[in-house]
Amino acid sequence: MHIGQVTPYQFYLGDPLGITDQAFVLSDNLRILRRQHHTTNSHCLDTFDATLQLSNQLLLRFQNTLTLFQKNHPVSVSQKCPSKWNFISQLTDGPIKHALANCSPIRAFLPGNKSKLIIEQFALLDDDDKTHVRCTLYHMTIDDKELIFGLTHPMRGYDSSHEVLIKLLADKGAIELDSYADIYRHDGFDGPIYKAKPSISIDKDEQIVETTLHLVNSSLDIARQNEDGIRADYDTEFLHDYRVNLRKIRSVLSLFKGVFSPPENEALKQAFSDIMKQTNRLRDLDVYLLDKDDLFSLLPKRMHKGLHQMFDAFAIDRKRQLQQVSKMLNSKNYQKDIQQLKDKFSCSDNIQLGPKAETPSLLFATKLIWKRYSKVCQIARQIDENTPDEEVHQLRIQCKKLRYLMEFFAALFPEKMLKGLIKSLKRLQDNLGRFNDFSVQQDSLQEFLTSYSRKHRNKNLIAMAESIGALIILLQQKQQQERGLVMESFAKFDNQETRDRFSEIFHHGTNQ
Amino acid sequence: MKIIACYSNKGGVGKTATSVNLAYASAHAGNNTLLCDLDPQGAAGFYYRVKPSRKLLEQAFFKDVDKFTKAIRASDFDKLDIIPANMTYRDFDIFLARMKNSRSRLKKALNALNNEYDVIVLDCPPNISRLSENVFKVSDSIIVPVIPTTLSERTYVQLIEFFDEHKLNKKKLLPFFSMVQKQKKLHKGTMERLRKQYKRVLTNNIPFSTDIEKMGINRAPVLSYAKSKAAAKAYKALWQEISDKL
Repeated sequence: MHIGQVTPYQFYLGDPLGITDQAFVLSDNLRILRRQHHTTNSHCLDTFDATLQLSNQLLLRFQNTLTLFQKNHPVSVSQKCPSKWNFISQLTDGPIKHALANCSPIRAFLPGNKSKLIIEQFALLDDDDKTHVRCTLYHMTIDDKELIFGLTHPMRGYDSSHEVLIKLLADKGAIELDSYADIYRHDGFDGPIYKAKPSISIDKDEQIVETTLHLVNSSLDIARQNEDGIRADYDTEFLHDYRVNLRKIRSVLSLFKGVFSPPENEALKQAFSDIMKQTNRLRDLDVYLLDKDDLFSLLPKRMHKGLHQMFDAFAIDRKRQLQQVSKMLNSKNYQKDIQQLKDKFSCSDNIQLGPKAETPSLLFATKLIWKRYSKVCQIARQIDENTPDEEVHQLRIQCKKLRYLMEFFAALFPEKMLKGLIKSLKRLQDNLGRFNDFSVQQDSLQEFLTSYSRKHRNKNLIAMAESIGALIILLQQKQQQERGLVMESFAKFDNQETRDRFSEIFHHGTNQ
Repeated sequence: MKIIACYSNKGGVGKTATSVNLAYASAHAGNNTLLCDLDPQGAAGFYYRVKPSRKLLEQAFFKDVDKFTKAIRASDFDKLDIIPANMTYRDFDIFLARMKNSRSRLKKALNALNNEYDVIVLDCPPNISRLSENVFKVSDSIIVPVIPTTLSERTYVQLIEFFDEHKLNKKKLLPFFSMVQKQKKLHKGTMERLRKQYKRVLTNNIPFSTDIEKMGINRAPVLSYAKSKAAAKAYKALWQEISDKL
């Protein structure tokens, strides 16, 4: 953007402009003509959770060029991409990679329908053939349906000519583009937008059993929306979201005691557990493979060979696991089980209720959250340098439960206050999470080495054992570093203000 | 931000063609570039088809940030803006000083709109005046086209004397050979002699070329319409050499 430059104008156009290479005279010294036009195939791109559409951006691909339009920063930028392109990390440094730096690096950009694209470039010239303003039109055609949108490119010092162009466009029926939704819809992104964490409205006086059904149904729907993406293996977030939502349901079942009858509760927990179990290995492998670069960076180059062998083995295993999970999702048994669960949660008449089923939701929620918060504090305040790691793991699990509860019932409490509490809890959880990740990584590396050495007796084994051994030592050190931070993290979380807030919101002002 | 002045105290040495093409090369290399046309006879703006602005005749022009920024015109080329000619030069030195002073309103105005120029190329009028003296002070480099003839050599010597007299920094001077005709013995001889005498003479020469002369007809920099020709390549190489020294 140049200083003092007027804002470019983005617009939809009902009909073609009807201006060709023959200049169209606008005034004594201004005329407009088409400078270039070409036809190509194109499609729009967005992530499954519509990152771009929701942030008012449009990503268009024709041949191996990506072009990004942004409503708030209305200058289109372009960059070359590889012929097979889905992830930001697959782009070289350039304006698009830069503009999309805030998007998730592990979410795939998925194409819409293929359309015929005509790109026309116009220029407004004076009697010296000096360009005063440029304009690009995009004609997208799918199945005879045409959509035209465009963008002006104002040039510094020629503001009045830009006005002339906008007036011409208005005369031709242009209307200002306020979002890219029409373009995405035209290209086949026509379903409702996927939301991983939709806000759920809860009535504070509603019976907890109704709220529970509501929460479970919502999570079940979200989980199921990810099934196609898991099968197609677009990116690892599909499986992750699928599992997060099933885990949420299990948490509801284990935390909301007394809502359903104990036998009913156990049976349901088991059913969800059985489904999730079948995806455990695939998720583990996803996590290893996502951490691949980090692990490589921990070791010197000469020890990379051993790691390569391990990751090759992971990649092969993942392929097999993916097939099994897809097969499971496609199976009649799964379809039947999941439908039965869905039916079960559709109405409280289908479920054997427990003694607390009729408790008002707010009362139920505050009691539960307060109890869990007290538990977190109780464990954490006993932790010192000598406490066994097992206790720290317990703290992590309790924090996670507390977080889930607060998120389940978010709609019942003042948004701003709750967000603040969740944020301070999250900082503690991040610390505990890393502590756990480093521990899990050590275990899984050790486990891999043990099982690999049982099956393979070859010369590669020594190199691999060396690399993995070195990694385990490094991860152990990292885990200890995180362990060292736990007391400090909790102290930060356990300040008077946070205590007061928890007490105020979840304990009705009474003291601990 | 770097300020590069194209200056010669003798006319007809290819100074404006140099400003026009160096500014283009700078922008093409990715620098946000502003070409200031200070030479009423040179018409750097003419080569970019930018009409002279009436507003620029007003005396207070350089004192008024808004007037200055409004007078800037985009060229037809990416990253290259132009201030067309026909300005009075009163206060230009103040203006230049402000551009460099990070606390000045002008600098702030440029920064606020997220557009600081990386390179400013000045096409200076061919005389030694208070303006040129101030330009010499504020510029980072002064590019001096020298035709390898005895007469041009003398004017270059005069310029050095002027720098000595006024205690100006001679290290800023970057002379190069312009309108070179290699087949001419005189050119060859002068070039060899001057290179020995003045170590600061740039390595790259600009040849005498009909492609450069055609700029008047094409009203565009050689680099844009004849980029594969020798003259265009020479300007590109010259810019590279200057930019390495900045």
